[in-house]
Amino acid sequence: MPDAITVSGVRRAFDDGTVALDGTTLSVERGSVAVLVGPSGCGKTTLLRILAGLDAPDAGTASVAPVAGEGAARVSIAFQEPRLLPWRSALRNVALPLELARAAKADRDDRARAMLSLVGLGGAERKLPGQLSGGMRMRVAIARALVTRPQVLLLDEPFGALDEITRHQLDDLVLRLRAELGMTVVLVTHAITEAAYMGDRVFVMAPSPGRVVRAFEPGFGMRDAALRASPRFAAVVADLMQSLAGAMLAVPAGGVRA
Amino acid sequence: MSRTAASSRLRTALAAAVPPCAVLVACVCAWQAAVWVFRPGEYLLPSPIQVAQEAWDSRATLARAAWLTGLSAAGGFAIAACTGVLAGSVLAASRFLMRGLYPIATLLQMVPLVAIAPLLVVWCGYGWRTSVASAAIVSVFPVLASTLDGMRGTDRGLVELFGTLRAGRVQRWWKLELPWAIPSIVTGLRVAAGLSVIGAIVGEFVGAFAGNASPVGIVILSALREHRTELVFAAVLTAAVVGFVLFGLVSALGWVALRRWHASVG
Repeated sequence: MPDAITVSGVRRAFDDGTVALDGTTLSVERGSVAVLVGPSGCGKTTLLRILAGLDAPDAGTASVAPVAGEGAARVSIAFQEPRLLPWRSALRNVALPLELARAAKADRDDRARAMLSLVGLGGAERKLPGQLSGGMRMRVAIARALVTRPQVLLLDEPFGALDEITRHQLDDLVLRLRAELGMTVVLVTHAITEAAYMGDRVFVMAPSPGRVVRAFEPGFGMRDAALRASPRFAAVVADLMQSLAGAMLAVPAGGVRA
Repeated sequence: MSRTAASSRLRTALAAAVPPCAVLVACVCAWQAAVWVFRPGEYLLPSPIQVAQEAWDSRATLARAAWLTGLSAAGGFAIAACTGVLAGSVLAASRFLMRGLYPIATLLQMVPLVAIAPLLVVWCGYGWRTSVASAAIVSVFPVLASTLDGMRGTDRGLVELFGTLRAGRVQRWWKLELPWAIPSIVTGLRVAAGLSVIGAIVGEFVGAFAGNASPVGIVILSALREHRTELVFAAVLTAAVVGFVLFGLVSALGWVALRRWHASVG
């Protein structure tokens, strides 16, 4: 499979002098799940925002390759919060991107309805966000991100605020949607177990300055509850933990690169 | 909504209405008692019974006056509502305009309406136009300010979301900022509704002339000239009723507009 995302030598420094990213290089294979994991300040969210077009690198390049035959790659992002319009029903929230792109009403309602049922919310079309649980709101947000059928789905710590059981369900939902729709997924998280479970490829990042210190493939094929309980999963988690601890130690205070 | 929820909401509303009604009845009784005891003379302070009698006798005049003043106030309010929301939206959209214009708007708002009311007569002539203009001027600022405040408080995350969805400026205004500001705008409109009646009557004081169609302001002025203090009282009460009805209508409209908000918050 060719790469969907190529990031090369990206540097991003903010006005206050923090170097969020420096010399960051990575690539993500089309149709795979890439996970960026690391402590706060390692630049993982900055990198995601650059890929989403919300921020631009000071140096280096970050590009999302379009699928052959299409002009530009469609990229969608889901944020830490669901960011739903509180006065709109679930259906009309999901239809929003199509509405803003001036799609025909019948068409966008059909597509929004189909996407809602794909995320397991068939029947909740008319509910307002305030009437939904946190997990359901996040499902609506994911449906909204996917309704335009993006080639790349960017997830910025989307399930951090949810309880663990709901988080597991939503992780499995993302994997299922990836299998059904075939998009590339980039997930930013600070949860090590989530990184180990979700990633076809896991990029361990370290702060000051933010950079990738290790790229790593857990190598799990099928993911399910049994995997979460297995010793080989525990071994991968332990391995990741060690990389993260090592990455933190390697950084002298003050942020000068060792 | 279920029937029990509706009936319990009605009961709550009735329970809330009891204390103010009781206070009102007590005040009217005290007023009547004071008139009996001190006998101030009808032209100084008529008793509530005399006012009620006068209001009943002049019901046709008062109803006509209420209708005319209500129309002026409603017209001025409508103009103020549209102008205020549009101007507030424009100011909210542009930092530059807001910095330049908002302080001036605030300053203009400090100019007392009664001071400029005679000018309105020069511009709009004698008649209802002056009342409408006066009502509009006095009620536009609360709408503008509440619109501006509401829109500037739009959730940054949602603005960013609209950016990632490549929404145009007008789309962002119509589908995000305006609905976001509705609770704030409704508050401003309710204030404006009450002010518009005051504005209309000020306009009538300076600009309307007596004819067969006398609005509340004119009824008050001519009753004063004829030393019919009880009719003045009745007319003032009429003005209060007009204000109350307008306020109630705007509140009801606001409630309808906010139902989605309430459902989503509550």
